[in-house]
Amino acid sequence: MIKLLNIEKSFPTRPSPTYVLRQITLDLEEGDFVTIMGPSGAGKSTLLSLLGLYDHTWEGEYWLHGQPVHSMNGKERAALNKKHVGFVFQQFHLLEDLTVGENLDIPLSYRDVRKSERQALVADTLDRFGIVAKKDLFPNQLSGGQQQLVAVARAVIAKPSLLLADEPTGNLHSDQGRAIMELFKRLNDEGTTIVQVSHSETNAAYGNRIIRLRDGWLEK
Amino acid sequence: MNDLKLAFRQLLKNKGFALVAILILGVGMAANTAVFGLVDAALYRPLGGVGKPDELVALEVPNRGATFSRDSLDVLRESKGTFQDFAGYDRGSTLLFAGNAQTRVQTEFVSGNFFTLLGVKPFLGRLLDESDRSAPLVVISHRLWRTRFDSARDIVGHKLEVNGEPFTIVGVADDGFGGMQPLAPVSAWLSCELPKPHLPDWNQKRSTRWLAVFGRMKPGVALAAARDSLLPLQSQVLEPWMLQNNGSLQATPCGRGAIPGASGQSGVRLISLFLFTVVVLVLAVACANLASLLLSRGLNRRREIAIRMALGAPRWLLIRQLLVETLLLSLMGGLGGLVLSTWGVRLATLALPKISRSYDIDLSLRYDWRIIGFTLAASLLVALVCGLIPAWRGTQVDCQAALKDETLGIGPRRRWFELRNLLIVSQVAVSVALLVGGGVMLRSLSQIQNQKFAFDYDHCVVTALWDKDAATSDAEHARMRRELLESARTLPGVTTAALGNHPPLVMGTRSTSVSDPQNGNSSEALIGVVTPGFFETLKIPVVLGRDFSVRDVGHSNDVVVVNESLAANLWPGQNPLGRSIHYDRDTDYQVIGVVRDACYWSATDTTRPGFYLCEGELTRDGGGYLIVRTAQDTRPLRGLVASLVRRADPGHEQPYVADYADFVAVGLIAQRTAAWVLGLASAIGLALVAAGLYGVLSYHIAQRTREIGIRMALGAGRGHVMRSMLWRGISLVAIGLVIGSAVGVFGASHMDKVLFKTSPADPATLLGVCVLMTGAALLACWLPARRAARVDPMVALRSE
Repeated sequence: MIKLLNIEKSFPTRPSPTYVLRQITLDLEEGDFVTIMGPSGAGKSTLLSLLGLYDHTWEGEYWLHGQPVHSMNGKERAALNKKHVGFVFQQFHLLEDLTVGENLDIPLSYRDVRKSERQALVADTLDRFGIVAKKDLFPNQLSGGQQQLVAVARAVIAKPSLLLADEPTGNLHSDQGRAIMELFKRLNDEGTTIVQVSHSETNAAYGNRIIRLRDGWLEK
Repeated sequence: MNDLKLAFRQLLKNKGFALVAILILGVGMAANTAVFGLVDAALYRPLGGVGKPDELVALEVPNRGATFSRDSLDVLRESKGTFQDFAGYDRGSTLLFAGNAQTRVQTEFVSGNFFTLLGVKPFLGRLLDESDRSAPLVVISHRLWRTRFDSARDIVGHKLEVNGEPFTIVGVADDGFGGMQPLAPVSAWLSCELPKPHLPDWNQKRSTRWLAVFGRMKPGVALAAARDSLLPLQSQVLEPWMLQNNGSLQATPCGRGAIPGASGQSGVRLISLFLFTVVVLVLAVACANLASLLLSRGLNRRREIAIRMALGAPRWLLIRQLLVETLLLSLMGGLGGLVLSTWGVRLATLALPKISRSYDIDLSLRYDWRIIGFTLAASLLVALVCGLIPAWRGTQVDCQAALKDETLGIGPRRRWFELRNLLIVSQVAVSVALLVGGGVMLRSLSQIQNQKFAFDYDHCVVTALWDKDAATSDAEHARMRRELLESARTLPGVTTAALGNHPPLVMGTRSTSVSDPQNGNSSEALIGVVTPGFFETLKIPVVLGRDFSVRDVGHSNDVVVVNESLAANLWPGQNPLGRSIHYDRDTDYQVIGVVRDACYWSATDTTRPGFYLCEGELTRDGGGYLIVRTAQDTRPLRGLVASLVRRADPGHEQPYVADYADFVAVGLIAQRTAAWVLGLASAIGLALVAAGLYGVLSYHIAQRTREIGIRMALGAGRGHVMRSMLWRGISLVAIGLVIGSAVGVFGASHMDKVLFKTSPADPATLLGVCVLMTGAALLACWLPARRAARVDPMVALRSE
C-alpha cells in the first residue's frame, strides 16, 4: 500500500543542512496497524506528515496505492490525500465553532459529497461511534475523551484507507486512552490501515508492527 | 457548511470585533453615502416627475444672469430648429395664504407650455397651459397640498390668496416634482404672463429680461447639434453687451440634478470632486484599519484554517469563506453607513452658515435604488479591498507546524507584521494629509476673519427684507420700507440704521459696466443701492463731497456716490465731483461724493471699483437688507429687529436677524465647508489611526508576552520594555507623519483658490498636526505599552 524509498528531509541551515529524516525505506501493507516510536526529535511526526501528504519538501520516492507521490504536483497530492487519508491529532483539533454533527460533516463537504448523502453518513457515523446524543453539542461541551472520539469519527467518516494518528492518547487519561486504542483496533479489524505515533508501549501493543526512529534514521 | 451561516456564527462569536469593524466601516461608508446622495441630488438625479429628462437643456450666457425676455422666448419658439420647443420660468418668493396660515414660499412663474414641455403629470386637476395666460390660476406642489391642505382630494377649484390676491387652484403637480431646482423645492406655479397687479410693471414689458429658458431637444438630436442650431439665433435673442468678452449662448443639460446652467454645475462638480476625495480618503483609512484587524484576526484563526486544510479544504474554499465573512461585515457596515448618513447630512448642514439654514433647502437623502445601489457596490468593493489580502495571507498556513505548535505555526509571520505596519503607516499618512488640509483651511479662514476691512461691521445686525408683493403699490411699498427704517432707528441703543441691496461682503453682489459719457473711460464696477446713513452705519468714510441725504431720495436717477477705485479708473488724477457716469440705462448720474473702497466680491478678494445709488426707483421691487448699528450688545437688538420685520411683513414668519458677521460668513461658505469637511474627516481619521495603533500594538504585545516574560526574567526593566513598545508605535507614526505632511502640503497647494494669505506648507499648521498626531499616537501606544511593562514573567512563562 505504501512504499518509501530513500526518503530524506532536511532544513536549510548553515553551514550544512539539518536532516530530520535519513534514507527511510519502508513498506506498509494494507491492514497494517503500525506504531512509530522514538525519542523526541527523532522525526516521528515529520514522517507521519509525509505519509499524510501534508509535507512535500522531501527527497526520495513515495508510492501510495501504486501511485508515485514524489512526482505529483500539489493539486494531485491534495486529491490523493482527500481520497485515502484520515488524520487524528493529539490535541483533537475539533473546530470549536461547529457542533459535533457539523464537525463530522466538514470533511465530506470538502469532498463534494451531496448534502443528502452527507446527512446519512453523519447519522451513520454518530450511531456507529455512539455519540448521537452529542450531535448538537459544541466541542467545549465535551470531555477530552469524547472530543477525541469525535476527532476519530471525523477522521474516518470519509472512509479513508489510511488512518494516521499523532499521539492520539497524549492528552487523555488512561481509561479514555484505552477506549480510543480499542476503537483503533476495531477500525483496523474492519480493514483500515493505521499508522500512529506514540511513546506508549501499551498503545503500540494494539498494533502488529513497530517502527523505531532515532535522529531521523530508521532503526533496524 | 454554508459560508454565510459560518460567517454569521463567527461574527456572533466575536461580537466585539464585529461591532468595532462595523462601526469603523459604518463611519467611512456614511460619509461616502451622504456625499453621494448630495452630489447625486445636485448633479445626476433625474428631475422628479419629468418625462425624458435627458432631452432637456438650459439656455444661458454664463455669468450674465437672467438672460431672456418673453420676446426672446417667442423668437426661440418660432424657430425651433433641433428643439421640440422652449419654455421659460422665473423663481421668486411669494406670500401665500394657505391652509389657514400665511407663509412665504418659493414659486415659479412659468410660460404656458412649461408643464407640457417638461412632461409633468397632474396629481389632481390639471396643470397650467397656453390658455391660462392671464387668469389668476395656481398649481400647487404635492408637498404643499399634503402639508397645508391635509391632502384634501377636493382641493381643485378652491381659492388661495397669492400676494393678497385671490387665485384658483387648478391642480396639484405630481408627487416628486419640485420645480427646476429640487434642492429648494417650489410650492406653487403661476403664469409668467399674469397682468398687473399680479406681476409689476417691470415684468409686464415683453422686452424685460427676467426669465430662465430651457428647451427640449428633438428625439435623437445630439447636444452638439442642438448647440450649433442655437448660434444663428443668439444675435436675435441676446443683447450685444451680453455677447461681449467671448459671451455666447450655451445649452447645458438640465434634466438631471438641481443646478440648471453650466456655470453652477461646474462649481458644484468641483465641490463634489473635493468632497468625494475627502470621503474616499476617510474610507481608505477605515479600510486599512479593518484590514489590520482582519490580519490580526487571521493570525488567531490559523489553527482553525490548518485543521480545515488537514481535513481536505482547498485553499480557494477557505479564501471564499474568509471573504464571505468580510463581505458580511462590509454589508453590515454599509447598512450602518446608510443609517449614519442621515446624521452625516445633518452634520453637513451645520457647515452652512446659520443664515442659509433659514432658507427652505431640502438636503434630506432619498433612500432609493440609486443610494442603496451605491452603498451595495461600495460594500462589495470594500469587502474585496479589505478582505482579499488578509484572506490570501490567512490561508498561507503551514498546516503541519500550525497543528503542532500554536505560537510558531505560521509561515510568513514576519511579512504579516510588515503588511500591518504598512497599513498603519498609510493610515497615519492619509490622516495627516487630511489634518494638514483641514489645518491650512482653518488658518486661512482665521486670516480672512481677522483681516482689516475698509468698513466696520462690529455691533451691526442685519436682516434680509422681503420682495415687494404684487398687491402692494410702489408708493405703499416705499412707505413700508421707510417706516421700517425709521422704526429701526428709534429702537433702544440704536445709533444708526440704513437699507442697502448689496452691502459689502453679503451674498448677492453684482457688477456692471460703467462709463463716463464725456471722456469715454469705462470700468467694471460693483453696484449698490442704499439709503442715506448707509456709509455712516458701516463706517465707510466719505473722503470727498457728501453722503446721500433725504433730499436725494426720490431723485435717485440723478446722483451717485463712487468709491476711490472707480474714481481713479474713470478720472485718474482728476476731481470726480460733478462728473457723470452712465450704465445700463439711458440716464446719466452725477457724482456727489467719493467714499473709501469697501466693495468686495468676496472676503478673500481685494476691493473693487464700485458705486452707490440712492434708494428709489431701483429698489421698488423690495428685497435687500436692513442694517442696524448699536453701541451696545447686539443680542437684545436682534429680537427687537425681528419683531419689527414681522410686524411689517406678516408672511415673514421667522425673519432671520443676525450679526453682520454671520452674513459675511455666507460669503465664506466654500472655505467654511472645506474646513468643516476636512476637519471632520481628519478627526475621524485621527480616531481610526489611534484605534488602529492600539489594536496592532496590543496584538503585537499579546504575541510577544512570552518573549517579554523571558526578557524580564533575564533582568529587563519595565522602562526598557515600555520604551521598546512605544518606539515600535511611534516609529511607524513618524514615517506616516513625514509622508502625510508631504502629501497634505501637495494637496493644499491645489486649494490655492480658497486659501487666503496662508501657505500650503504653513509651519504653524504642520507643527500643530505633528503635535496632535504624535499625542494621539502616544496615547494609543502608551496603554498597551504599559500593559507590556506590567507583565509578570512567571505568569507569562507559565501560560505558554
